[in-house]
Amino acid sequence: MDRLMEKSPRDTQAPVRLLILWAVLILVASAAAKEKPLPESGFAAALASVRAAAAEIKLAQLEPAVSVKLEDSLDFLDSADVADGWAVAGHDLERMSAADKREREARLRGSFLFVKNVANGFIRRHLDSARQEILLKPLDAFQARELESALAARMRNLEMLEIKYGPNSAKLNVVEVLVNHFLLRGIPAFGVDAQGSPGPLEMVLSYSTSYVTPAWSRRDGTGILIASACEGGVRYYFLRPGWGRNALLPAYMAVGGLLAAKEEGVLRNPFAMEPDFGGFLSWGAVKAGIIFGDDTRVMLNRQFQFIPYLF
Amino acid sequence: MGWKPQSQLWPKQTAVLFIHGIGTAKPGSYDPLLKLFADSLGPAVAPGIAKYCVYYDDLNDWFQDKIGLASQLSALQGFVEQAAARETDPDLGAAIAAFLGDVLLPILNEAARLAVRDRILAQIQQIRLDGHKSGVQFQNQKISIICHSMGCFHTYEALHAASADPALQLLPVSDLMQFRSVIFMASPVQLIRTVAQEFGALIPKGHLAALSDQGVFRPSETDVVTGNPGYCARDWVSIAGDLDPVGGHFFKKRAPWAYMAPAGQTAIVEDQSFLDIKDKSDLIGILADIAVNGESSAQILRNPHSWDNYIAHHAAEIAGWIA
Repeated sequence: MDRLMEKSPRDTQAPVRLLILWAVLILVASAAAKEKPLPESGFAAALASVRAAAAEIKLAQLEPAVSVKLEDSLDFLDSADVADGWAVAGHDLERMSAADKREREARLRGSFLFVKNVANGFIRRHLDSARQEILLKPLDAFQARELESALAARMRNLEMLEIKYGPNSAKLNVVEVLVNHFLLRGIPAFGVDAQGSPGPLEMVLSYSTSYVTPAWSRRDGTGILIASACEGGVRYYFLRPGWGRNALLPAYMAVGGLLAAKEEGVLRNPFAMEPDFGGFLSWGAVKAGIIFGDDTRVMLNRQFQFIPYLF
Repeated sequence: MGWKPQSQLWPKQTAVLFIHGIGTAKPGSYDPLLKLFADSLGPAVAPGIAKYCVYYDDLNDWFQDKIGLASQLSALQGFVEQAAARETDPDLGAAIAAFLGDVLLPILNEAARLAVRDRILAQIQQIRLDGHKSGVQFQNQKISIICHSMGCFHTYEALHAASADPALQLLPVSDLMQFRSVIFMASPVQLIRTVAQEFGALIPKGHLAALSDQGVFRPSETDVVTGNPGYCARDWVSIAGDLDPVGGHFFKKRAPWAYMAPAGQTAIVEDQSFLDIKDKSDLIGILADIAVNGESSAQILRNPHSWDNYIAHHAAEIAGWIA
């Protein structure tokens, strides 16, 4: 009986111990099962938010095939080290060729496009507005950063278009319009490429009414000479941020050949008699030319049109 | 780079972008129109709308100064004159061609229209970012476009680019950039398409959505789960006056070669009898006078192409489309 009596308190403590053990197990299990806290912003957070949203709507049950592809895409994107602006980084990329990097970047972009399409289309339709705002906030934040980058790219392209076609670009004559805007426009370097960016080149085919030979460049010391010349060459536009705003960083430079009239004066016809040959170089609107021959001389000019659209 | 997209915080969830048509507009030129819009919608609705206006006539000036396309433009106008004359009569055809003026200009130069398109796209991107900065997540943003005349053509091109190029971050499904509504007022898109097709090699066709083999259509992005198209705009609306030649009507007669009619469009053809234009000769006189004198024309209040009238007469419907 005494034994029984002695045993009895132990028996009454056993359920307590079991209860404590159960509580500890619950705590341990719940701690183990507790979700890894989601990162709040950035690419990884955006991907994690899509995973969470897909789980919440039970995408695997609703659309099993889409779910598998989404998981594959998310895994692939997770494995890549994608920095802002899609500058793909990572040690494995250092060994890659430029073409392989471009291909990998295109694949990453394609995968992310798929993820966005599923998340912002199907998944959002299965979530109410409040859950969308909470669950997909990191995706929304990442897309805002993407949009900022896209806006910066548009502004850069507009700046490039301004450099080539804006008020500080060279005005064209009828022949140059015909050649550059009708004959050569299919060549991206002269026209516009597939992304809508302007090419840097423009053909120069013009008649310049008044090249000036300054007195200091004349060996015989006689005063200023004025010559008319036909120019043929190529104009290169500096399609870089900050260019095209002043004489030091002009919109363009040009180089080519000259046919100068032998007869001095403005509006002379270089073909009236055998012309002098030479070359020219321009830095923005300022042009310098050289005519070779018996009387080799340096000439200066400024890019302008005497008669608009003609010369 | 002189131009910067207009930026502001949104009062609520709604923003409207205005894209003007032919003219010589400078920043601020359309402030009276924005006031008319606000007055027409009333104090209960208007203060909650962030209003934007993108100006681009300076870009047209760049290309006119650099390239000068007057001779090619007159060739295009000659075609329109003949085609319109066949629909109505020679005198009205000539008046319509003169009235159209620079509407046809953007098809002549690829870079010129891309510059305007990029400016519109940049403004749309800025509008979305403004909304986001104002605390309106992308899925809750209600952005609409109201465009007029040549602005409809540029809008059409911008919408197609936005729906096709992922780099712009403006895809209808993937980027949640479905406009609440796009309201075209007197759209010349079909007219421009017809003229561009007629002139073949003269027209640079690169990046020209209006010349697509599919005809004029509402751009979309496919939802990869359902396979259904997600259109760029929930409501694609066209409003054209029955006396407005730019919108494809030649004295109350619709010309299919000049009237924009994509599938799925909500189309409104406005009865413009309120203008008290009695007959064709009356219309010819009005169009000719406005073509010469522009905004200072004595006939400006009887202009069948007036943007102000389109907005004022359809304010109630617009309030519904943008809400």
